[in-house]
Amino acid sequence: MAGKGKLTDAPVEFVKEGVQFVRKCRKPTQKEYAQLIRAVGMGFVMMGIVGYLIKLIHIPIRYLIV
Amino acid sequence: MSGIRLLDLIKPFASIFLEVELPYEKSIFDEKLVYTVAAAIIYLLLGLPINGVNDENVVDAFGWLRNCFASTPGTLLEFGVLPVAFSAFLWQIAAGDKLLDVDFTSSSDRKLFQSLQKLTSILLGFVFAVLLVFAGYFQPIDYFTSAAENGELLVEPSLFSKLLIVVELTVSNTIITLMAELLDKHYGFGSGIIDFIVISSATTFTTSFIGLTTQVTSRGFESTGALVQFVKNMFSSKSYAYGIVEAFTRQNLTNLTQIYAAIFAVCLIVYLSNCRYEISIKSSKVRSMASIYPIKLLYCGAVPLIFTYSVLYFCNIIGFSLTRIFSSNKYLALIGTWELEPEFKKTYNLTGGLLYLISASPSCSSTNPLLSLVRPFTYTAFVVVVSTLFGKAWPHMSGSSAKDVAKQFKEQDITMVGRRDVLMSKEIGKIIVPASSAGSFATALAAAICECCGGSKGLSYGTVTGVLGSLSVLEEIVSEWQQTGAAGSSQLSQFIPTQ
Repeated sequence: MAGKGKLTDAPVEFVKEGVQFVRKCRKPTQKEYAQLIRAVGMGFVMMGIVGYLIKLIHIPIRYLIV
Repeated sequence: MSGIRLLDLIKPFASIFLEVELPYEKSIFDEKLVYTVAAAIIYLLLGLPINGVNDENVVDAFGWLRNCFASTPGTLLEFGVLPVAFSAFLWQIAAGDKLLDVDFTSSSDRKLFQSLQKLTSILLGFVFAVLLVFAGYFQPIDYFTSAAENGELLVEPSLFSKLLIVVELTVSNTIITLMAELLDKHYGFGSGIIDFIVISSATTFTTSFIGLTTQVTSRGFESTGALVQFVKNMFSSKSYAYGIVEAFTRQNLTNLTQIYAAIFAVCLIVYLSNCRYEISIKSSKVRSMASIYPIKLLYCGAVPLIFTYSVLYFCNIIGFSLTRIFSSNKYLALIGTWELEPEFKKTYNLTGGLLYLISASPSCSSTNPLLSLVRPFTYTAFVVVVSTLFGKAWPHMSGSSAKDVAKQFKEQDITMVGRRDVLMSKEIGKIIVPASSAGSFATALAAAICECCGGSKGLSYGTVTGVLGSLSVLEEIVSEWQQTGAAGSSQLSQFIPTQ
């Protein structure tokens, strides 16, 4: 019985603490969230486009070296 | 202690290896930005094919793991940042668990520790390269030639070209290691590993979303971008229904389902990353100077996700090469079995064994149906458990635990409102420990589920890692921008909105 209690103790404690923490958290409002998503999305795709352009340089280099 | 420490054994080697010198003075904002961007660009440019290997015909066995480690098959970035990341985790954990005796307050110890990490990283790259080369990984399968039996023509490279491949991979891995070290030593923003992962996963995401280039596949020309392919289908295909279905389900390149799974995962992660617990603090010297110290729910950011996949990637490389090299051994099949995907002949897919159960590799028809039903659950469970355990331990190892935060507060004469000084570290610990473990739990769960549902081949997981990483790098940039008053001196001030 004692062993069983120990085995389930850790996950139960973890869930309890986690839920408690999330409840106390300050969560973003809908407006903040929309702004954030837009900023992150734009930034990420912009970064990707720059990366993509750099990767395009590979095409002529490949023709040269292969 | 009088015995020889493991760390001291590295001393003779430390002088041989190249090392990035610490900056003489604190780098200025612009310089750091330029260093970071330049390193990222150099990293991307490294993705050139290896001499003697046709990267278009290399059959990829680790496609679902690559996105998280900025690696591309058959190129100099074959391992991406895996060796750097793995050796960093390995020694950091060893030091955290006191297996390795390091005194992080002494600068010579810190230097030796860095050399140890670097040496391990270079060695790992070498070992991986040797394993894969001798497992026949770089022998291209030429699917256009139907002359050989089974329609597969294995081109066996000579011993010399095998050695050449090993040398190339080792050298490129050394360069990556040194570049990561450069960024880590405060020449740039963020940590080197995270920077490379961010730029590469952003590139992968954008390329697979709106990439304009086409690839020759066995079905003719196909666009790399899922959206582009969708639009093209709308104009060219005979029936709209077929065009839509094809864009959502194509298997050889990214399809729209995978893109949507990734976008969904990112939306979830961005929400979670903005959840934070605010401790009100005040200065003990200056009166009426109250402020807020936020502790984020995702306290560890992308690190637990990277750790979990680095373990998986490591096991997969070892497993794959061992099963290839000792293909006659029956017991090795228990680790995992890889099979050539029959239609496009572009990937080896896991079809069985232990590694299959904890993988998200694309499914194959020859798999036991029971196993493929069980797999999503075992995979999710594995990712979540490993990430959570790691997330719980990481703050302690990386020097951002409650004790360290409390010490930092004390140095800056900050106290928590309504709390006594003595109990501060305990109080902060009550917040940080659940935050780091619950945060890793949530991110891992979101990433793993999206990965399973979308059949993403690593796109969801990689994009989530990239977004989390970019958020943490951005945070560093913004805080530096505000704290050092770079706004006045920076050349870039007209481009960056100041608030």
